[in-house]
Amino acid sequence: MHMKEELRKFIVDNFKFGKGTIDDDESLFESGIIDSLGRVKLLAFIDETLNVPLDMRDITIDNFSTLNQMAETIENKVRNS
Amino acid sequence: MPELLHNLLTESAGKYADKAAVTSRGKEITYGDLNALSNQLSLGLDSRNVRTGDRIGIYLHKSIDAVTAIFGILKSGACYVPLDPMSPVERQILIVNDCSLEYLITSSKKLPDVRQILQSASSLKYIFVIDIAKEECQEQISGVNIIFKDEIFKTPGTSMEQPQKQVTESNLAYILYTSGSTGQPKGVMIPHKAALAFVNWAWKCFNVNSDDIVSSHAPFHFDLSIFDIFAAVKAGATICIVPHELSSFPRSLSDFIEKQKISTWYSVPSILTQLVLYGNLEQKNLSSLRQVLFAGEVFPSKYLRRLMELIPHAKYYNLYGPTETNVITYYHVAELPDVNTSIPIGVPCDGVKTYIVNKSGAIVKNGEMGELYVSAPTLMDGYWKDSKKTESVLFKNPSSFLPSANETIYKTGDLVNYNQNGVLEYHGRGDAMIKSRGYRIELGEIETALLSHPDINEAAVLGIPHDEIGTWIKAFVASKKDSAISEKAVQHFCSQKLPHYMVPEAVAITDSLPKTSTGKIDRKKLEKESI
Repeated sequence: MHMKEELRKFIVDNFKFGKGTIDDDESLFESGIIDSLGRVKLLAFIDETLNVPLDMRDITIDNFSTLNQMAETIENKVRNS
Repeated sequence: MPELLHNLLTESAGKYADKAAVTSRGKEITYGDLNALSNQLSLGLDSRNVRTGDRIGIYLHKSIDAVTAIFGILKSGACYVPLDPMSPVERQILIVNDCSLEYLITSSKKLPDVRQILQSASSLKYIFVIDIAKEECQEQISGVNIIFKDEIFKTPGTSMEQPQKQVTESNLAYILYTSGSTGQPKGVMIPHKAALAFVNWAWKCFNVNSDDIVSSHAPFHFDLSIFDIFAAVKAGATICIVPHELSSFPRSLSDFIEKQKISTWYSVPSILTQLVLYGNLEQKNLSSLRQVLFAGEVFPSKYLRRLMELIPHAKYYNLYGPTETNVITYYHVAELPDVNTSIPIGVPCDGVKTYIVNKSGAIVKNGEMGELYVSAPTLMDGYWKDSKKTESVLFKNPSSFLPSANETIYKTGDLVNYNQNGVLEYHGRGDAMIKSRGYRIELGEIETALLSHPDINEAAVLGIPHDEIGTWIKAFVASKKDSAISEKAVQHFCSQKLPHYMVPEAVAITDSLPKTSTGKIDRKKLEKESI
């Protein structure tokens, strides 16, 4: 599965408990779908399942708020490592 | 003139008319404008027969509009009831019905939810949509009076007027709903005099002044917001609303604190822990930050120590007090704390008397641990429409340990002792209440939600200690025979009934839960299994 789709599935499964879907540009933290504890789970998933260790200190509201931004941040990390 | 919360705004608007009162997401409002707009809202409420003591709901995210709503409601003589904008509709309905709300102030974004609430809440008569004009509205809502922005704020010529209402210090200012162990949230009723006793103390103690930029991190249904809003307004300071999503991005949050030049910060400790761990604080210029206040849960000493090392010029204060009492004790952390000891909750605030009581109802001997009882000018009146629960925690002159006959005493349920230096130390709860990310959670409320699922026979919920967030929540449920429920399905079910911070992070499903010899669910055994 494409990385972005894996991420979408994880978010829907874990933060919407398998119901509905999320849009590519939906602001997931502003709407409350993901909170600070959810972010911890999400980073663990990206590290353990997608094998991309992101540093919390690299993550900002501007590069990690939406599915598209998350995918881009992960791709950049892969490219630069 | 009686001392009332909204007079703080009228007075500051007189002195600081052109100064920024609130900043939020790039917008700003001056004291003069905040006063004028809240006057107009109060006149709009008054003309729809709001009476002194009526309860008016606020269903808005933290914003300039929400602050305007708070003052508009208070000026109309009513008390405000802030709903958690992130909670599911089912929980809003419980509160709207419990409080028999007739008036609700909300925004266009929330109208789809409001429509759902209206289907189950017949008390609502007036909906004030504070952010859009009638012609901009796409939603069709019937069976209720809807008043839009253009109608609320159309009277600039009368902006210095406010309704002439008979309001006294004993009238309610707000009702804050907290988690209730039986599944029904409890409404904590706070009168003007109790709120002002706290605000006046905090304003003086922390020297809040007109040069301050005060963070507004807590949501408005959380009692930390009382300091943020009213101590700042009393001082003519600027309330700097922190967007809630920044709490998930420590690095962006520390950027925000730097750029906004926040001078007085107040939040739960878990946010400060996140800033210490991931906020790149060593690279920030936080010279404006003169004091950091925290409350709501235990701040692990090792993270507070690190924070004090990273921002050495600021002063640090631990504030303590359940919603029912406002803040009742405080502790100035003057030196770097020892990482092996906990931060004391400190000494009583002005006018607060503390008693530590053992299980037999007697005052403990020096240094012994017991339950904290208090009398305070900041106490609640009781729980809304729940005299039984009120009587279980608030009472007058119960036994010989009380010095004066007419003092009202509140039983906090918190275990404390006096240490060698005569300051209070906190030792947890004697019951099933936990704190997670500063939120107060009755495990019984989650169990009640779980047991309302048709396929669940038994439920037990535990708080599992977590270094960074305080506690995470694990549920154990026994399902009915042939039921095919899954962890995800149970979590989804809970998310329809409970705020997100109360939805269990993990759910273990079994055929039956372990029992003690007396037939009760064996929580100790479950706890052992979880660690």
